[in-house]
Amino acid sequence: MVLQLFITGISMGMLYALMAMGLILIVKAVGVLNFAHGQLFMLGAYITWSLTNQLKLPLWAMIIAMIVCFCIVGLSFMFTVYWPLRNSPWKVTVVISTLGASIALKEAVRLIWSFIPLLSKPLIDKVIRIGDAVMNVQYIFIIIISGALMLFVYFLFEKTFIGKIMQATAQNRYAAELIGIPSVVAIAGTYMISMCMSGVGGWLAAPLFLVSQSLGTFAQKAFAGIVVGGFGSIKGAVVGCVLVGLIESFSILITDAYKDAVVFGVLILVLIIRPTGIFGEKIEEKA
Amino acid sequence: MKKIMILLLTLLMVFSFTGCNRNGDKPGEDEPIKIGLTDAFTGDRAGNGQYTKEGVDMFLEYINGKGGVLGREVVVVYEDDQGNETAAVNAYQKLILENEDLTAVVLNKYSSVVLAMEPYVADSKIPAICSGSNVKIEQSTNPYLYSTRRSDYGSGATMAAFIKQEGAKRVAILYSPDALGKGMSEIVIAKLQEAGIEVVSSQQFSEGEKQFANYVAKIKESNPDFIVCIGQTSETGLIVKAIYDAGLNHIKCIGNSAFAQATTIEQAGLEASEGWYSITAFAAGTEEEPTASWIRSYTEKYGHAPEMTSVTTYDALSMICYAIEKANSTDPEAVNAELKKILNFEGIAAVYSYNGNPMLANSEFVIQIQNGKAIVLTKVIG
Repeated sequence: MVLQLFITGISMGMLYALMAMGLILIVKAVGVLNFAHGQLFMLGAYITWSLTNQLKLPLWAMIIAMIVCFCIVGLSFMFTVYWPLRNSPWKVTVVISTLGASIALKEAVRLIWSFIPLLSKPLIDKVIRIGDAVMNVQYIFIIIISGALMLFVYFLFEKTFIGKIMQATAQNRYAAELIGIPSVVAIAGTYMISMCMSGVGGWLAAPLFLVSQSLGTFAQKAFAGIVVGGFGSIKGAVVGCVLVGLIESFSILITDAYKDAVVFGVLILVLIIRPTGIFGEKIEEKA
Repeated sequence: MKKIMILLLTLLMVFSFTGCNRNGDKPGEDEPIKIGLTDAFTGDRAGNGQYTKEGVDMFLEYINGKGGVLGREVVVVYEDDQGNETAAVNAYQKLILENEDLTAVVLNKYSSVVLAMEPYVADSKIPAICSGSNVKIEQSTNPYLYSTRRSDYGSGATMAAFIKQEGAKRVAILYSPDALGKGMSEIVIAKLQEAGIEVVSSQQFSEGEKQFANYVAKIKESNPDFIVCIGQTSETGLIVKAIYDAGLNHIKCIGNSAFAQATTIEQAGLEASEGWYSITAFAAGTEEEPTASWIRSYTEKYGHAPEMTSVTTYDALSMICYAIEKANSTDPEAVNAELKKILNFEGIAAVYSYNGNPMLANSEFVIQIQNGKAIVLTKVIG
């Protein structure tokens, strides 16, 4: 049973980490927490469901179409939810705007795709058995694809010039514009990448949890992972999310009904003991 | 000036109260008969509201197609209760305040939500028919509250009797954290223990749970010979699939009505749901008439099979219209008096009778999923 708990914990942790990546990107680009991120994740699942089941695209074409769609959604989201409010004297205005967007997205999805949870076929419909434990093969895809995307984001931000541009825009948009950085392009790029990561997460999670409006609830755990790992740190988010997944999974040994209370209890504890999170200090030094 | 202001405000208050007087204005004879309905039309439980609405549309098409009731058109006024207690209380009050000429109200199937609205139902003195099955609804002394269901006490007892009949010795239970799960699991556990059957594992899953592998691993470790699951349709498909994925499909499994619904079977897949038993108020696979014809018409109209809420809402509206006709009035008190006289009323899901408590249905089915269809094994009455 311990092995089962470990497998479930790691798998769910990686899924949360994939969501967290998209969130961190937006935080780094515009310094705002996107509360509609869970709904963008859900939207990704619905878009890929339509491309696969309604347009009947083969996998390669579906992936291309999916990326194009996600980029359009990312841009639309940025220009409707963030851009008009970017100069507001209160930063919280954009946060409230993302909260509103989360409700609007949820209801829009219900109007477009109706209310019945939809079935999405996994890439390989198999379960592998490791001793007494079982693991859906879809989780292996989640771990591999999430890992690859996380590495991509890490290198993009830490090792590339484009990443530095994005970070510079996030830290001081005015100064970045003064030295010739086109902030609108940098921010738009970040929103597109963020949406792609959420959308891919939704696509990967859908066969395991159905395509439904409640898919967005996973974002709560991703938020918790980001805080545990250290707000704003990519490495921290991954470690934090995997930790959240494991805590959530192993909490069943203590309580079956209140495992969310255990997860968020640990979150509060981390904030009391180490308010900056596990990797928080390093970020402060870098900033 | 001050005196004039006071006079104006006083007059305004007087007119406001006059406007709120339910008995003040009688609706015209040619005006439609208004029935209120609260359900979740937004939020996580919006799917339930949509099925309910489809049941309502079927009913209105039927009743108004044959000339309405007392020669008047029947209309349903909706209010969104979001499937949660706080919003439901507000929704109910809004419904009552904005529609002074309501004859009756139909409430949703979520017992905890119904119980939150129950005191307001008593205050408004308008008959309300819900589809909740919690024991607290059965025990309610509110003279205006009814349910189209048999209580969880009856369903739990039927479930335990069936498990005993199948020769189970070690039972594992997994249930939802809502009124349905808590209430029904308590009854099942008590009845199983009375029958000398050991409950080897009893787990309540978290609110909004989607990952059931760990719960199933715990069930597996307890080595049961029968698994009982109680939950809502939002999670039942995932539970059935998790049990199948863990290789426990050789163990007999039984669930509440949600496990017999078409969406559960579709979500879990045919192989995973094969052989599952369920205690349900509504069996979509029944051959009995008029249920079978009704299901065919519904499926043709909407392109998908009905859920229990579509049928129970249809039956609730049928009973209300029957009571209006019998009372020859749309006065809520007169309609309420007629609802108390309901005896062997043949609905689509069940035969209904008022027996001194809110639960109008006194029958249920034990079904088994065979090749994706809910096949009726026995009909339990009483």
